[in-house]
Amino acid sequence: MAATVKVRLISLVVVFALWWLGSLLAGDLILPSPVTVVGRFTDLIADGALGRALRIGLTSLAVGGGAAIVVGVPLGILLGVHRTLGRAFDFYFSALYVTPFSAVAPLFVLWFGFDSGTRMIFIFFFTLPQIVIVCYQGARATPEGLIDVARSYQARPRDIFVKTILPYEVPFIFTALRLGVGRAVQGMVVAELLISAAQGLGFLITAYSAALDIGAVLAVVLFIMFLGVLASMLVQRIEDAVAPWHSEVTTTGEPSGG
Amino acid sequence: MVGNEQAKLVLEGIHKTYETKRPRNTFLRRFLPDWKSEMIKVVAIEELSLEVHAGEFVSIVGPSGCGKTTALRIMDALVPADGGRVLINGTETAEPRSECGFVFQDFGLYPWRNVAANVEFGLELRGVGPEERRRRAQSFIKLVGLEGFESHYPHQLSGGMQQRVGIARTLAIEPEILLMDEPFGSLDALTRRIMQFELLRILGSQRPTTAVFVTHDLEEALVLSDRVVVMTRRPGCCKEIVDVPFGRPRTPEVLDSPEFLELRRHLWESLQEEQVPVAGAVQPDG
Repeated sequence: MAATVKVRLISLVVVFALWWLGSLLAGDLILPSPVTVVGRFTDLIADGALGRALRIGLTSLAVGGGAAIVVGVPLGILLGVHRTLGRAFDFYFSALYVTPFSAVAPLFVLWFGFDSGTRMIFIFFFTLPQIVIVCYQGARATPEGLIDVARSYQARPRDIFVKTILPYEVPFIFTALRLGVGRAVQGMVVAELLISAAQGLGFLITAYSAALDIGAVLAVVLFIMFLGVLASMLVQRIEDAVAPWHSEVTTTGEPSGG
Repeated sequence: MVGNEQAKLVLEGIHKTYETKRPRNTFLRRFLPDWKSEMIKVVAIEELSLEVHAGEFVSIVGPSGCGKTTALRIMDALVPADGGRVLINGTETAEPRSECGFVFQDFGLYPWRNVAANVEFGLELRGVGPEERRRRAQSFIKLVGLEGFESHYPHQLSGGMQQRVGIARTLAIEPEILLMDEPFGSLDALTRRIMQFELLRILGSQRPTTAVFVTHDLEEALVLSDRVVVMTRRPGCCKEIVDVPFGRPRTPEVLDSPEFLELRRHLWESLQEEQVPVAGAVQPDG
């Protein structure tokens, strides 16, 4: 663990050094140096712009992304377990996954209006396919052998579902959450860029790039990236606590001999 | 009702046919496996009949692909037979029976359950309360020599230890009939030999257990069994049944006795006759 932290710190120092070097060569106006960006970042916090934008963004993220999880996880599992339903509906989610959402954002405005609810609906549909697809594949991946074990102990279909398919699904749910959180953050920014003109982090980015304040643009973008990494690490921590067998299997690879 | 009243487990004229797609190797067809695919029928088992009596240990040996594992899975109704009947304690079987306990070749342990929870699995499904479950699981964990490993997860154990868990899990439900599908097949030779005598010790300490044991290891079959069933090559049926005269408890010395060597030679020759001739193994592609 300590080794991981060390390597990541070194990697961050190297990247920041390169960035700083680049800003020296290109000039602060084109590529602001880390110092400039950090300065703009503290300004944004001080004048409350970032805080307001974040509160608005996180609200739509929590509602839209949360709804995608609450609907997507059971839906993915249902499609995976029920063969006919899976065959009938799985490809819709593959289609939804590659839908160019930024191109269809105006349709959302047309259908649902120009307010924060529309952003939530947008984030929901943007995040849903990823979660459904991962959970669907997990439910289908349950090894036949493990189901046979349960059957050999006279497990009823309900027992097989609760004691074999669901536990096997747990790591897939966490993968879905990790990927889903990242996608929801993307969806949030796209929604703020395209759907509501005067709110949120996306609005900040539009406003500052119009004003050619590249330092502030980078401060907001880096902050969003930081939020994404933080959320993904948080999900990983929860997974390690809830499904220790899985993270150990995947990190140690081969089972130990002896 | 046909069937000997003494018999614990009876197979009557079991048939099993598989349908598979004819394998194709052209480039295009690998990507379009369903396009103009031809189903071919493979007769796995033809007219297999067998009687296993209470307290008897019967091994089934046979060439690869003769359907011995399928036969065992049919006994526990994990796969349906296409013809014939399976009788357990005189009644016909359509679903996995509580009298049977199955031990799987690849151990079949749940990776999210530790040793104790894996052993408790069958008891849990039968609605045994947590206290009682823990107590009974503990005694079987002790029996298979895994005391102190209760909270280990399967991936932290060696193959031999994992199958000890598998055996404890099956014994915990106290089955009348043990069905074992090459349980030591994936272990190294030394561990396999140790596990064979461990199994003899474990079963010797239990009330008389009836067992059907599928293996391709002739020595293993002789060490463990009262009778050895030799199956023919596919479509599999019963070729001959060899009685094993050694008493119990058995010790490793049995391996060196002249009778043992003679029986092993006999089984070897019997199986040799069932090997598919090499020239015939390559099917001309119509």
